[in-house]
Amino acid sequence: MMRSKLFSYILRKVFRAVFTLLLLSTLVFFALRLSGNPARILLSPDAPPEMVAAYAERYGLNAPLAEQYVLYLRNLLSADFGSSYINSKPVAAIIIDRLPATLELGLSGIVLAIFIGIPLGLMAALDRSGPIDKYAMTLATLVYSVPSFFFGVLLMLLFSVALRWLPSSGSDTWRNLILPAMTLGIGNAALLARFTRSAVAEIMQQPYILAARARGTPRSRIIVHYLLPNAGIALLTVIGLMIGTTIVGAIVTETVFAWPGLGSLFVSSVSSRDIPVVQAIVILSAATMVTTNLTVDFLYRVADPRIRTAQR
Amino acid sequence: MSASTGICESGVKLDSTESQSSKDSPAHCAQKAVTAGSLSVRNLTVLLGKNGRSVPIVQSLSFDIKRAEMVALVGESGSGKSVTCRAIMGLLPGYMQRTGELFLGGAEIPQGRVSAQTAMVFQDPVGTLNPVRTIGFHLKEVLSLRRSIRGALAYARAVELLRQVGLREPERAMTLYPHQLSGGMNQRVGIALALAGNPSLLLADEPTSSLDTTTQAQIMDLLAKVREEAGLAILFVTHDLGLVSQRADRVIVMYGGQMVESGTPRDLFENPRHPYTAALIASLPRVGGEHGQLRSIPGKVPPPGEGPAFCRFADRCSRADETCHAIAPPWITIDPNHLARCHHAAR
Repeated sequence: MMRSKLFSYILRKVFRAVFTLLLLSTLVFFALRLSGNPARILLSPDAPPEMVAAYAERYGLNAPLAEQYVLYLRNLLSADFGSSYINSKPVAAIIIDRLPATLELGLSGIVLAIFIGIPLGLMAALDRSGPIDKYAMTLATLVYSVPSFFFGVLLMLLFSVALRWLPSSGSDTWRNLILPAMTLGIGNAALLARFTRSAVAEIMQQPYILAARARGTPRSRIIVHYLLPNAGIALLTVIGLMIGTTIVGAIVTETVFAWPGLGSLFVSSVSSRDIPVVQAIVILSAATMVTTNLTVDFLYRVADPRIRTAQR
Repeated sequence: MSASTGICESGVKLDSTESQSSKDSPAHCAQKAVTAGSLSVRNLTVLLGKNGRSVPIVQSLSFDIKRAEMVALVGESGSGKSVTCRAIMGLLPGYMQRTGELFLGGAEIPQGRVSAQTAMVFQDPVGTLNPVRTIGFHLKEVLSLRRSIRGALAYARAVELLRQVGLREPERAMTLYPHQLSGGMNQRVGIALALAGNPSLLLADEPTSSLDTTTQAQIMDLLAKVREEAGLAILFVTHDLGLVSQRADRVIVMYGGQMVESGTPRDLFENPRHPYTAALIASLPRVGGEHGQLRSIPGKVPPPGEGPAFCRFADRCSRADETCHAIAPPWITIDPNHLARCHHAAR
């Protein structure tokens, strides 16, 4: 009974996720083709018509849009994203080549954000209107409101130009990772610190905290068993959203530090009108969002017994 | 100063001499030794706001609760009854400060320390339990913290406690989360948690206010039972005068942070001497009473630091005159256990 209920729940969620992706792929397909004949955009304005026709023929751009769409979907299902308009390499291969660098940077940024943001927010909430709360939270607001590329440039000026400690671009050694990861992580850390503070502050007002203190529960135990698990439920959404946007969304950071990931690939593909690559990156980032959302939904069930045991 | 400093029979003693230090204090008791397991509150004052301007929200409360005695603290919202409870528990928020002395079983409870001898039952039974931990977790935690009982022994003791408070399937309840139990069942768990630490004083802050009438009666029966069995002293805070009329040994009526009358439920119901007590009783709905509207007391409790300074009730009182606005009302002894703090209490 219980098991079949859980199974149908999972099935429903997965079905919804697949549907979202299909809808998004469709949107991407038509949006990119609304901007006109790719062959004409790709080639220079004064290209001879024969050349345009040859290009269109080669990439199947002459077929009716509906036919192109069916082909596009069929190819997507077999993970075939076509090949690049620029160098004719299969798009899947290009992306797989760039993916590790992006994952490395994105995950470093998130880990940094979690390990700085959550403890900072927790300390601020515990030290309500004390020095940590005042200064750290003002700083967090400041950091969050400054765009990340500005930070990137600032860090670069300090550590690469002035102090000459760390390289400012490339990805040859682990030392190259530090600055871009910090750039990516610090804004998220500030965001997470603010969310953690308000989540913890809200939980601290709950009657069960007072009741625990009345039973003589020490502060450390209250933090570990009462504050964090309950505040964590609220933070799951934020962290999920952060992972979704950060992993494939480090466009600016990757460009500033010449980091050879998907973000910098995206920028160059857009400027060179390489539609298959742009298309694939957009779909991939959407898939990441959908997957993290799905994961967060399941994690909610693990973290919150009220959802887990709710009668559906 | 005061010529006679007798033994505090009920913790409340007439002190008609108008001296500065004891003008608010009904009991100017030098007596500190009290029987084991009983609570003595002496000149308990709670101030709101730490430095600069601070206003009293509870003023010079003095009373005693003996072993196996249930004393009810009655008043409207804003009368300071819940703050009194938290002050005794040692859980005042940082922006409040208490003065005065608290003794439990003869030993003084230090400022800001949660007494291991005191347990508390709260108003919102579901909200006072950690929603992401099981009933068993809560019980085992308090057994470990207060009694150093752990492991299988803690489990057995927890199940026993749940059975004691009337949970039908205690082993199953151990594995459940608070939201899976009803309000009444959660309040039973709350009482089990309070009993787990083997306290001598139980503070019950409106423990039945969020429950339906039937469940309310069951919880009251349970409290009466544990009072008998464990010899607990119970301070029962409520706004429901009707509820305490059959259950409490003694009733203390609070208004605007001050005690205004104290006596047995019978004294208060049959012979209320403070106009506020009389008004509270008159506002109770009655079966077979006069037809028409429910009677209410016009106006509301003045906020701390505002309203009349001497008799806090003067603005809402039908019997108030210039004296009430000019001179602090004295404690009038009606009989040794029945006192009222009103210029007009002597009639």
